[in-house]
Amino acid sequence: MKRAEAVAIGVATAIAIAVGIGAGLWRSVASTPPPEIGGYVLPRAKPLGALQLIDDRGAKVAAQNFVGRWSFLYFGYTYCPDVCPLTLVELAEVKKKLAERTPSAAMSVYFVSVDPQRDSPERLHEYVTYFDPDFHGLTGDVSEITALANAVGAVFFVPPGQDEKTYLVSHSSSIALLDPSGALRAVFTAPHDAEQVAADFAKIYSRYETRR
Amino acid sequence: MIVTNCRRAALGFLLAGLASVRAGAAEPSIHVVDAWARATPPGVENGAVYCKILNHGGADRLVGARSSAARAVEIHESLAQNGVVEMRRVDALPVGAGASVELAPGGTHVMLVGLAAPLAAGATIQLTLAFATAGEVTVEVPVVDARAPPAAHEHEHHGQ
Repeated sequence: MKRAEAVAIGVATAIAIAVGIGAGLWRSVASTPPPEIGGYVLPRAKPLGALQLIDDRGAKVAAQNFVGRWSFLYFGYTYCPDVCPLTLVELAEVKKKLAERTPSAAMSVYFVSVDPQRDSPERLHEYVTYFDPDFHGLTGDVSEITALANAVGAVFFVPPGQDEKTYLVSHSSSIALLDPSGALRAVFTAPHDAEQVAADFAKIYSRYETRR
Repeated sequence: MIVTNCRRAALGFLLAGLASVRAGAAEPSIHVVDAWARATPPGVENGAVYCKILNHGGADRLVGARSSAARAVEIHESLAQNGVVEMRRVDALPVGAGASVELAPGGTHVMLVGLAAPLAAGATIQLTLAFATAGEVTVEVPVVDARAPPAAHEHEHHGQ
């Protein structure tokens, strides 16, 4: 066998093997359903679309600001004394658990105000950093907050007939998870247990992180 | 579950809660125990108190509350329905004859509306609960840091 022929056969074999492995991998990933979690995982991550918010340090936040990290989004308001602090305590616990469980996964937690009228960036900053110094607050125009909520399947509304100073806001109890491309990947449904959310995230992370 | 951390924190205050007193009567039919208030982040307007109401008498209702720590005190219920949390004001909370009612995080709670000052962990506030039949019950409420405690903080809680 001439040397050129031998090389050609070698290359062809290598390509065949590579294609075979690639197809096998692709098939195994494509045919495996998304992991089961306390909530739901989107088979195809859903991009957010354009939005313009303000964070708790007064900086502008657009959709591309969510790129590069896994983002946990919870919608609430600082006027809420019960469920919101409860969930933020749980998210602080999730963050601690993930630091040990998936140390390679960069993650951020965002508390998105459903009450921009009362939640200024300053107030949000004091509030979110109380639960964890790395937590972020988001506020802005109601229309922009609504756009983000719509993009991640969350809702919020002010039930009618309330005092204009002491009104309460109803809001989604779920936590949305954006992947590092900034697209919605999963939604954790309430009630939230830090251990469960951390375990669910680990499943999602190992399933999707390598595919990006 | 979510409740566990708070409950654990609250356990330490069992004795403090038992010190609740009802002005006037020698043998109160209602006891308020295990009361604790969630320490608040700086700048927030409202707080929440949780407790257990033990009724040794006939059917009664919690119809009002007040505290010098807040402009107004209301009974609220956090309702989770169809993935949405709604907080609703409760005008009267029934406490059945011989029954106990637990006010716990994520459910029914006493809402302190318009705090005079942020609730700092370690402080104590006074809360008066008004029952339709049993009258007023005043309880000393310890303020508890309900954040997931680092080891050092947890120690503080149990030490009290």
